[in-house]
Amino acid sequence: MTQFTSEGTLYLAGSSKALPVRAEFNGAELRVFDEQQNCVGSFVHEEINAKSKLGSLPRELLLPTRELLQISSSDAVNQWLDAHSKAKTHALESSKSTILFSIFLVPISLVGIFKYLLPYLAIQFAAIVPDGVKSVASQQTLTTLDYTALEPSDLSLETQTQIDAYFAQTVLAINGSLAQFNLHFRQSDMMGANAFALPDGTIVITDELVQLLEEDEDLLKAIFLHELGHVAHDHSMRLIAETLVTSLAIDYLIGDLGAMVELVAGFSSTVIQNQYSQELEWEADNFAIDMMIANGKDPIHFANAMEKFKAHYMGDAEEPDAVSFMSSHPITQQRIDNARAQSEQLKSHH
Amino acid sequence: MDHLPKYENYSYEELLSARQAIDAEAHPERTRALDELLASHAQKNQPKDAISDKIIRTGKGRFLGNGKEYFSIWIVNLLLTIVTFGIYSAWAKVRNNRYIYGNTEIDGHRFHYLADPVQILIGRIIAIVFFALYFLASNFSPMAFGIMTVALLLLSPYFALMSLRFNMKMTGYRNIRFRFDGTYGGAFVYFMLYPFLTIFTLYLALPLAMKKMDQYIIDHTRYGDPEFISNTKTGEYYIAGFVASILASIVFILSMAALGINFADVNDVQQQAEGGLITIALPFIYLAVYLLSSSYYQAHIRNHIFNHSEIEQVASFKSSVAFIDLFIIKFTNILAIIVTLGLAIPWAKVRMTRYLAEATEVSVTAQADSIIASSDNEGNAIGDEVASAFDVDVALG
Repeated sequence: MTQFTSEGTLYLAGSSKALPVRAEFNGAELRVFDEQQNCVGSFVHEEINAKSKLGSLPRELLLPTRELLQISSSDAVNQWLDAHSKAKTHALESSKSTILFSIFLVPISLVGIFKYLLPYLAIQFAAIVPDGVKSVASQQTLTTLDYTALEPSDLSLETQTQIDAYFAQTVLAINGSLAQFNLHFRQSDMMGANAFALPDGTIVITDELVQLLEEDEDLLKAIFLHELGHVAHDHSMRLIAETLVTSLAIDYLIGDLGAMVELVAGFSSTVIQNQYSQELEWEADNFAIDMMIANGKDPIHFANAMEKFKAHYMGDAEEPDAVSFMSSHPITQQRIDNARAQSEQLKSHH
Repeated sequence: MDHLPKYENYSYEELLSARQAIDAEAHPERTRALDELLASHAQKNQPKDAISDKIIRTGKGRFLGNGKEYFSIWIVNLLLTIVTFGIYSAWAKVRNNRYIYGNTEIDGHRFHYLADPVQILIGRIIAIVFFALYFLASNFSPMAFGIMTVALLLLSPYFALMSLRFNMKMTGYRNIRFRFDGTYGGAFVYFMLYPFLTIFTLYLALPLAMKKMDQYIIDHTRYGDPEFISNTKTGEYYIAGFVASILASIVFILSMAALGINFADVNDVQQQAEGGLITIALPFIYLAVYLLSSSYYQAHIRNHIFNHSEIEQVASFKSSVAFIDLFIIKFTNILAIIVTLGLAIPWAKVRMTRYLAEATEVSVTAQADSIIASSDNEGNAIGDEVASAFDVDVALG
């Protein structure tokens, strides 16, 4: 018969009254004595609801009288309380091997989840979004942008017709159909020289970009291919899905820990999303380059288009490498180098 | 006829125990007898003001846990959360909070965290669904997004209310739960209306709105039956806000000058950042400036609130947080977290909790040892989880 005692405090039911007590364990019975040695309670093992062991916190026993008995944790006490308990968490939390295992596995699994699992799930999600939804989303987005950032184009009808022809040729070159892709012209002070693609195949190009590229056929076609690449690979849907799960994942993994950590969480969320976005930009770049090569065009045109971008936005300043994690696009010089390298490779094979 | 036990011979504590345990419907006679005896005891035990107001104990808070122990709990629970794709996160939250609350002690007694993981899990699932729908609406249908935003605005006082109610109810001290008994009406006025109206005063009324909000929260918080009462002054909020802003501006300007950045060309600030060094230093400067001003505000207001809040005739409080200490702890915590890729989070939390506990003092009267709590209904975890997903954080000090 096990027999041992433990010091503790008895908190009475429905009141803040607290008595210093001594708990005597005898076999399956527990008797509680106050400082005057009066027995203030007698219980058996089954009727006690003990909260699970946690670190070195004192054990909390919820008694059937709705009193709370708090006693120091000791091996004897713990064994008595947990003999038939199924709770294994404390064992895991105090096992050195589990802790070491966790220290390694947590960062690795987080990287695996964010780098591979979430993008994979996002691609699956993007594939099942119905065309009707994409269409509605695109139309509403364009309408909203027309109210906010975009003005009607100032390009002459001639210019627009000519560029439309370039666009049509590009679409046919990638075996697309003109039913699914269409080009819109806009002017935008807010966006400057820019082009973007909407999920339903709508491509928008700003007057400023047309002028930057000097209406050059090859340069424009290179840009069109990049944008078509975004549509062909369902990038909009994919980025939406990635952003959604990333926000949720980060919020739930470390969101409990107070405002200070949430600052860091918000920052890492942005960094992660920028990684996803840059990945998509590389895919679109390489789609464009592959298509150009397949159609007998020189990828150097893509490099040239990027050169003009760079000159326009940055002048002679160098883009610091460190900035790349704060930006949604890869470093422009790297994109230029990539296209150039593939152009060199193509030439050396001839 | 019910045979009555000899309740007249019971001590006050025994009467309380019996009253709590009894089934009022099955034994109405006994219940009535107990209530009458309890009432007469209560009257006898309320000696007049001079004696009952006397402070019999004063004590500072302590934190009895340590970073190493908390780390092992935290990291293992984090692993379990990851391998269960987040489902275990509710259990992890309960264990983490039990450790932090349970190791926070004041006046010789520890706090308790009483939430049930299943409640939290259900709340989280609902929160995820709301959040996902809202996010998808923002990307697919600006109209649905607009409607949901308006709905969210109207609902946010409700979420804040539910969150406060839940968190208070899940906090226990000496076997009594805290309670929050605010209503949607009050929440709407103080969490929504007042802050909204500050826009019309160019935010000059913001400290007033903050004061009203904090006051509403304190005045509707109870410990068992007794209520908290606040005697805060709006002036202190203005001072705190003003000094925090001045502090932020001075430090910001000084650091920009130190880096040699000219503000004449505001648009070119980015371009003036030559090389990667300044671009990396810039976020840290923004962080330091933000932390400095928010630490000042937080320290000043927390001290003011604690120093001017009490539970009448039961307990009064003091807080002596130094804003520089607070700033240093927060700043070094964040640096440590970044450098260790998050592994320092448990130490950071322990350090902050310990600092705040040790800066807090309570003075109690004899009545603190005999507070009564009538039973109360379950709080609702959904509000808490939805609130945190949308960042409706009604934090006090």
